[in-house]
Amino acid sequence: MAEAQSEQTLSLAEQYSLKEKEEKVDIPLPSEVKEVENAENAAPAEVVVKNDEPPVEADADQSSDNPPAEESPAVEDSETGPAAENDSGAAAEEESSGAGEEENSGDQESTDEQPEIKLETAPVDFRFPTTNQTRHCFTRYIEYHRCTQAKGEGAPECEKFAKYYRSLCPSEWVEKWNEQRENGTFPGPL
Amino acid sequence: MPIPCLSWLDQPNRRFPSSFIGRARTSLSFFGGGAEQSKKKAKKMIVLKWLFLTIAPCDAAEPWQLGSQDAATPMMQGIIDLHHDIFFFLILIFVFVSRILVRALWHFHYSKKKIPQRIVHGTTIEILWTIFPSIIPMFIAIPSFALLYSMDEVVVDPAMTIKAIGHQWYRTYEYSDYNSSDEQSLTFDSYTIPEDDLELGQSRLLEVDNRVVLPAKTHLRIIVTPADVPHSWAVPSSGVKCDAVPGRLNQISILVQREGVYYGQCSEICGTNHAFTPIVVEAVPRKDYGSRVSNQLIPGEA
Repeated sequence: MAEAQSEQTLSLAEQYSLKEKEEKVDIPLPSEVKEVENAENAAPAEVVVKNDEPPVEADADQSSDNPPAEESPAVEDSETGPAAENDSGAAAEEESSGAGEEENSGDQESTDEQPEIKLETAPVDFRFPTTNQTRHCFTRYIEYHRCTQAKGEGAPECEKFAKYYRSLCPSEWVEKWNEQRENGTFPGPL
Repeated sequence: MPIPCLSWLDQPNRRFPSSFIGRARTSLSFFGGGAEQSKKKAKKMIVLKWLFLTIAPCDAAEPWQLGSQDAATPMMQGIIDLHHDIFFFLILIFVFVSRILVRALWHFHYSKKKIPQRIVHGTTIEILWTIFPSIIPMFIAIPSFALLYSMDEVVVDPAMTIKAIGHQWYRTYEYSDYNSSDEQSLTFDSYTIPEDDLELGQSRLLEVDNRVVLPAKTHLRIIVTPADVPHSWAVPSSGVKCDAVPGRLNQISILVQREGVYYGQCSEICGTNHAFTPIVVEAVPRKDYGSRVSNQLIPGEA
């Protein structure tokens, strides 16, 4: 639960920001999150590296969770099963109440009809909660190019940023920016 | 093949009366005295025509329409409901105030009461008629703001993004979710159909050559922006009116609840052909949408 929670409490800005070092940048998709939950032991190291302040909250959760387990160590084994289930259930609920819902339903749909066309697009970004999405498009464009600079052209992790900015930006803008980048007059922080 | 939004249904209503009027006019010469009568008949037909038109099952504006168009999205449903809720109280207040006004005029008319009453103030009633009118707008504001902000808010991840780009004087739609490079793969322009090219059943100044095809019952993000001057992307049935401001991307999120063809018009003066920049949205079932898009993608027609 702690892991799942801390994954959730990561702000999107933190999730998307490029690290100085080579590190895993991509957002945990709901499916990945579930994997992490399943392999609970494997996750912590990675999560701890990612977090700055969320661990406080996570610790609090852990401390509230732990006492019953410590009281009855003998029952622990039998309890971990349902507890884990509860955790994943809670996490799933959180996901469905949050951003994950659409993706889940999308998956269902795609299994129903199995088209070549997959309905997916740039997700809601809580850095840009308003009607004005100009910055959203611009930021995605910059993120993509910073990502390719950090990881080399055609890095698979960067592809999703490319998809996002293509979904959001008018092609005219993208063309203009590409031109500006070639000329070295692009106004953004690349 | 564009589906003419069931308007072939109301077409007979629209066409026959006029031809009837024509026939009535020509028959005038035969019956010299029947002029009055046939004129009345013609007027009756016009009234009938309007009556039928108002029933016409078309998601477009109708002649002499007073109410809103049928809601296609939860947003529009909310708007209509709010309107009706407010109108209920509005009418109550209107009746109450008119009653007081008319009563005052009636009972204190100079012909009835020669000596005017000299009431200078009444503290109780003054407090009442200050407090109540100031509370009422507050009670209107609460649901109104709730609706307003819920319209802005994007809670779920949209399943697809459509960019509606206004031009002088046409619209370009970009479906870029399927792009694998910066090359646009699915983009088309949507022009109004000139009056001379209209087919039977198509609405004048409302029909376009390429409709926006959307999947119904799907969360959609529409990015509205122009390429030149301010435009506006408005579809009344879906409760959307989003100004397109140069250099800015405005987002609206809609969920079309039923399949259909929805008509809208430019709502921001954008130049000479402002009136000739309609919007036609065609909501299709989700699985049909997939095949539509893949059909358009594979031939690579842009």
